[in-house]
Amino acid sequence: MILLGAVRRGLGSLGTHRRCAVLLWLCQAVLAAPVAALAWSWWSRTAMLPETDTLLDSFHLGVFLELLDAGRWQIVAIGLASLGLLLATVPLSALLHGAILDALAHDDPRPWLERCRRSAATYFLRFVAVAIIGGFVTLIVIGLMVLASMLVVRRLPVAWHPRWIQLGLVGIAWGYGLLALDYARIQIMLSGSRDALRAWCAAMGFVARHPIATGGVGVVFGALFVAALSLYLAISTVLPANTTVLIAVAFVIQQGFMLLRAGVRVGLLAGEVHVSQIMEPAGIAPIPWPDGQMAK
Amino acid sequence: MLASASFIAMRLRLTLCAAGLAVLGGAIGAAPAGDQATAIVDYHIAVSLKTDTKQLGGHERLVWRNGSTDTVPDLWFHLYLNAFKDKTSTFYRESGGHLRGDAMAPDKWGSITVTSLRLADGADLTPAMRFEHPDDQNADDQTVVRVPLPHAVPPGGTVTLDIDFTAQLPQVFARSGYFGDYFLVGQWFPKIAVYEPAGMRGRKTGGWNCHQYHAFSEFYADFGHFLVDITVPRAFVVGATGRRVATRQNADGTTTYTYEQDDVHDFGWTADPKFVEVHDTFSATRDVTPAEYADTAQLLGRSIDDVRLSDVAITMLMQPDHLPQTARLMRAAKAALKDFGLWYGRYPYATLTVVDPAPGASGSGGMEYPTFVTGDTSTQFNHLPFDTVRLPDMTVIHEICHQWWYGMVASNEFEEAWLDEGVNSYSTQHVLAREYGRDTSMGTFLGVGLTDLDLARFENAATKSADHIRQPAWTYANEDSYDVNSYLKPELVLETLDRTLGAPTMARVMRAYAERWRFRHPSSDDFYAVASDVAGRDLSGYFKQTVESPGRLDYEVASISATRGAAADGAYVSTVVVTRHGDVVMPVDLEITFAHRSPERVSWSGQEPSKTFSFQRPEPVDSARLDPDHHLVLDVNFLNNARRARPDRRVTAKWTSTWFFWIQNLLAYAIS
Repeated sequence: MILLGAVRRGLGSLGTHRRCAVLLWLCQAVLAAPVAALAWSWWSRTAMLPETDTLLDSFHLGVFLELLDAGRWQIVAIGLASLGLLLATVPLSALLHGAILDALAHDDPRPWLERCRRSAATYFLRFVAVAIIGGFVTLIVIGLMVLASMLVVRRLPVAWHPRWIQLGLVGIAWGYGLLALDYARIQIMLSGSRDALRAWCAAMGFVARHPIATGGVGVVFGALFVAALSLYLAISTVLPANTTVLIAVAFVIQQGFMLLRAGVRVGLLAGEVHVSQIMEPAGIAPIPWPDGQMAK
Repeated sequence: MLASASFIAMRLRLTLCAAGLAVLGGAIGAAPAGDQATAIVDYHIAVSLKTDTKQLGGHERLVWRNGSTDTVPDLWFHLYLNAFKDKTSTFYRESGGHLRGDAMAPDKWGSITVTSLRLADGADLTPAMRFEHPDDQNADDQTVVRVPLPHAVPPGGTVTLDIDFTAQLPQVFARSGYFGDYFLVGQWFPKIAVYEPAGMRGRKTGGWNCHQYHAFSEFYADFGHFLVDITVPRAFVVGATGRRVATRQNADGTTTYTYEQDDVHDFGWTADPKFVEVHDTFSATRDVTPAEYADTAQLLGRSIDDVRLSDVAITMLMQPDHLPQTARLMRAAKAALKDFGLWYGRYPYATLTVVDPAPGASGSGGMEYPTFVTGDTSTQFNHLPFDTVRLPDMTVIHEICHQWWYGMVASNEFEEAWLDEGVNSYSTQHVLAREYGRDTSMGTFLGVGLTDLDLARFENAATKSADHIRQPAWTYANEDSYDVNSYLKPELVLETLDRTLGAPTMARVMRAYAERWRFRHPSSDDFYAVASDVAGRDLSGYFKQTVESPGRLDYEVASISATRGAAADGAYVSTVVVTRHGDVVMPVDLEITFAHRSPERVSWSGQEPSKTFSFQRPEPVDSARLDPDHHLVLDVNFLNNARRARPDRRVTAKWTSTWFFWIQNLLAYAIS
């Protein structure tokens, strides 16, 4: 029942909180835009070169390598810019999750953008801390698991290679880490806890105590994501993006997928908020206004 | 029964061997008449492996025949394992202990010591041995030794030597050594050099051709007969050059395996208790279709009997971890025996052994010995996403190709490495394309087609080397230059020639070269002569530009424009300027496309550094393309071969939006 309710609330949020999905999609697009500008500059060299037309139909390694040879420093710049973006996602993720989770958790009549701004600022430091702790610990656990599984594999009959089991275990650990991070953020927001480490530990315990509810929500929205991805791949495979119109259509489809993906993410968060509120209700700590009034 | 009979035959041969060279070119494992080498050497070696100390102890009886018209006063030998003796060897100084992506393990040195060298009559020549340093005067190098003879060997005469030696194997570094219980024993015995008479390979006077072991060079030796007894602990699985003709269990817990082969110039072997033996047969009737015989016969202008192949027993010695790859590697081996056999003449030996080196011993991978090759793979290729990448398959095909270019057509790998590695790379590329598809000749990675030719072109373009293709291997500026000038650029030189002459003519060139120089030692000049002869035109100019000089080929459409003419019909005057940047000159087609019309072609000799073409047509020029059929794969830059009059931003838009999409997805993951 709890799982069903969580899924229903998550799916409902796709309609009621579509602004959150748009905000997420928009942030990703704006952040990616500078790198795309560099990419446009790099790819522009193909405009006068008919030899690159083969790339309209499919990727061709030989042509790409020659392009690479002609402009390798720009590619380095694109790589560095992408790396910089990844670093920027740590604070950005904290801001976005602060804004979105507050909107999902509280029915609040105050202006949406203003709420986003305030909640993002309120949870920023704690969400950054919990992301660093969660990411760090998850990576260590995965590393240890890989190491342990390699030691076990060495003792197994040599012709048998349980690679998929190893990958599955790593996937479970990774998923567990992501779920714990989400629930840690929700714990911080719902309880007002100021201790990121304690919140993360509590979230680890919460996910472990309620594997069906927490994992179930994750699986349902994960399946939705896989379905959306499959649909996108199916369309992009049959769509020969080799004319101006078809390239524009492909771009629209890509952005549609990204918007859908953002929606699925918001739905997952809404479902997780629901699970937290039902399984372990805590005193919600809405964000105070400057004049000290609490939301009604 | 079979082993017993073979053992008797082997002993019989041993007796005859001691009596002289009457048996050279004899019966066991021999090729049919007309398909044999002129035997210069006859080795009978008994070697035992001490697996705990990684040492070899051996006795070698060598009969050498003077095939020249000179009287030869001394003998020269290679002691290759001394390359790994210490940091003072020429090999170490040149490599710095790093080669082919592998590093030499500290304190895991290798060496060989000749403890006794006597004539058959008992005369002791050991004290007379002197290390020689013909290439670099490095007095510390001990990879070449000279032995003056008390009596010179007359033309057609023979000399018989009894040599005792011990060897310490290095941890696998460059081609040979051990790794744990895995042993790949190559270049391991005192090997006599090649005596080249005047006229051979362009020599002005006769003399020994014996180079030190260098980092960027391989080997050179004479054809003959090998009979080798290998003694190892019983648990070890052994593979070697030639056919196993006897197996003997010894009282001390060891086993002696005897291998024998005619018409070869080297002998390699391996031992590892973990090897899993996989046996199969390449069948000349089952694995080659009648249509393939007919097509080849037609291509080469021969009868079907001329191109018919023979059966080969294939043994794969697989590492247990790599067993899932057995089927694909066996397919590669059979494809190689079929295609190279059809194109260059049948594989004349009865056996082929493919060794899968142990994990950690990849330094011994990708190496060729007569009838015995090593692959190079890892467990990564068992599974997605690498199981579709054809690198292990390519290695097997490449090394088997060496049975023709190195094995039978035995060029001097020290002095003209391109004749084995470059000709091989060209040949391998054709088998890969034929077996796995032209656009996926090296398989696919994440859905992207990988082709050997694309990678060769990229490497060739990226390497700014002043070296020539034809120069002694140890004189290349660095390993990159050796790789490009020995493997990749020659592949492109030959592929360009192939596309220029046409596939049928090139197929006949290669067939003629393989046949005329089978079991002989050709030079580059010999290859040029065959190519010119069969092609019916003098190709020396082409080879002079591409093989004998560091020439680069780079054509460009420098500019393209159109203006409406002053004539009353309003026709456009279109101008195309083409430029030659490199110093290699080749005739090339220029294809001009005018709006709404079929393309037109004109020829350019390429002689001038730059040339302007003008056209008066009712429509303006749309685009211009040099070498529209991509014949000149030696061209370092295809992109500048074509240019259009007006920009077309579709590729830019498509791939920028795709990258934008990928980055957004990356961010979506990171923001989670």
